[in-house]
Amino acid sequence: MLHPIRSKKLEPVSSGPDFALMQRIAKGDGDAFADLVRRYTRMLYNVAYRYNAASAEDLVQEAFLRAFQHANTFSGRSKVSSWLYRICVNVCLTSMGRASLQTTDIEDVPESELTASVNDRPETRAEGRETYKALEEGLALLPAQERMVFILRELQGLAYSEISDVLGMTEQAARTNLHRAKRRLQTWLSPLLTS
Amino acid sequence: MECSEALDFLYQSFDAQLTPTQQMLLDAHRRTCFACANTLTRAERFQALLLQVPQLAVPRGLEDRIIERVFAANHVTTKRGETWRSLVDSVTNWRSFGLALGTAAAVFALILISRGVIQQTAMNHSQAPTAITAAINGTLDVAAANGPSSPASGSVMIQPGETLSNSSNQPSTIAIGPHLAVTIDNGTQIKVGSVRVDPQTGDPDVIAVRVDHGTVGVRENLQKNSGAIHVATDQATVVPTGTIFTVTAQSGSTQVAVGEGSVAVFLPGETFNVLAGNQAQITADRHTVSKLRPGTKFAH
Repeated sequence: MLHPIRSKKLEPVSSGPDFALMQRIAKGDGDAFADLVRRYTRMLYNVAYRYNAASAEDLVQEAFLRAFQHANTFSGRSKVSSWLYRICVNVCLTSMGRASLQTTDIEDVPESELTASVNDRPETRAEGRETYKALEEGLALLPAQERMVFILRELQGLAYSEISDVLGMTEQAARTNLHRAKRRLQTWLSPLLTS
Repeated sequence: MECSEALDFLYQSFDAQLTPTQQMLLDAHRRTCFACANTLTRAERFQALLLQVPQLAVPRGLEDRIIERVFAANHVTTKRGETWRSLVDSVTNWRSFGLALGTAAAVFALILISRGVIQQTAMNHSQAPTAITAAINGTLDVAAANGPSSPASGSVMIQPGETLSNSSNQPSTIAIGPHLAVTIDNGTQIKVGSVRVDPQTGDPDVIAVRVDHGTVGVRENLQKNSGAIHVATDQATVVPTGTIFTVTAQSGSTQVAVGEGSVAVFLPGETFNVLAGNQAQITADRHTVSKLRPGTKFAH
């Protein structure tokens, strides 16, 4: 079962314009919040979309709503981006729980199902855009935690230390999750990678 | 070295985590194990693919929708003195009003979401009409408000309040600006709503159309500064976020099919998205989203 993440680690004190922005938001400054939204929407949207494309907008809206309502809890011990990532990850994980959506392990998909949907399999896809589509489909089949580690590391470029903080796991656990995810995805995309 | 260990080493090498000794072991295994050599090649291709995965652009208007929702929920007032709650309330009220009138097909209206300010406007001639130049591929009957219709093709001026209908047996396409083309199926009638033109480029900034009946296809290449088209029916207003889609208005229902990108669908009191490969069926009291039927055609 997935639980919301709580940061256990203290990071260097946040400083600069982002920290000042958060202080203004904590006082209810709407213009400062609008600046925050314009600065970080793309970052959060990319995470939410790769995690759950159909609900990406709702997830990002919910993440920013929580960020605004809890701005006064931002202590500056982590980067604002890490803090927002953490909120967004929590929103993604808890929303999946609320909706009771099942995540299916690629390796648990019955062979008959894969055979039946042969037209949707990667080997029948053209290259380029279709490859990305196949990647997104494979991503959707990963277990939630592996999927999130993969998104943060490979698609968002976060360091393992930051993933560890955002997801509340050790760096080694993040590496293990990432390698598992990559193995599964590579298997899923194997026909496209062979050509 | 075991084959599984070789793959672990390879993934670690992508993170620059291998010691020189481990790298030598990996290279040696690769030279002697044909199966692993292929697997490792695929892994490298996979890694190269990941480097090329593009960052997604933010759907048009998302930032404004976030700000709108958060401010409305928290009664935030900006420095400009605009209380977002009141703006949202007025939009909600307007939507109900628009739906009622829209049902009677007497008035159509739209919401403009642009440059951080929610505006509302109705087709009530409160703004001076703004004409745009468009190129029609095919033939359309163009009628001014309460005026007779006349056939038009090639380069034409389109003004708010005009009705465009396609009585030919072929779809006709209107090119509006460099990034937007609208295909009107035969038997379809639309009305042009408000039009706002960018004074610097001369391209339409926002154009709103209402589908009286029939099917309209939209192909829009989303550019940061390109204009937006808002397609309204009795049930919904559809706003693209860089996409190809069709809107079909039938008696009592609207169907939205999305070929590329996504569209935001605005209903009274609710907004939802339809992603590429899906279609939405919208009636007055419910909507459903399902996979596109095979063979669904879109504007070219």
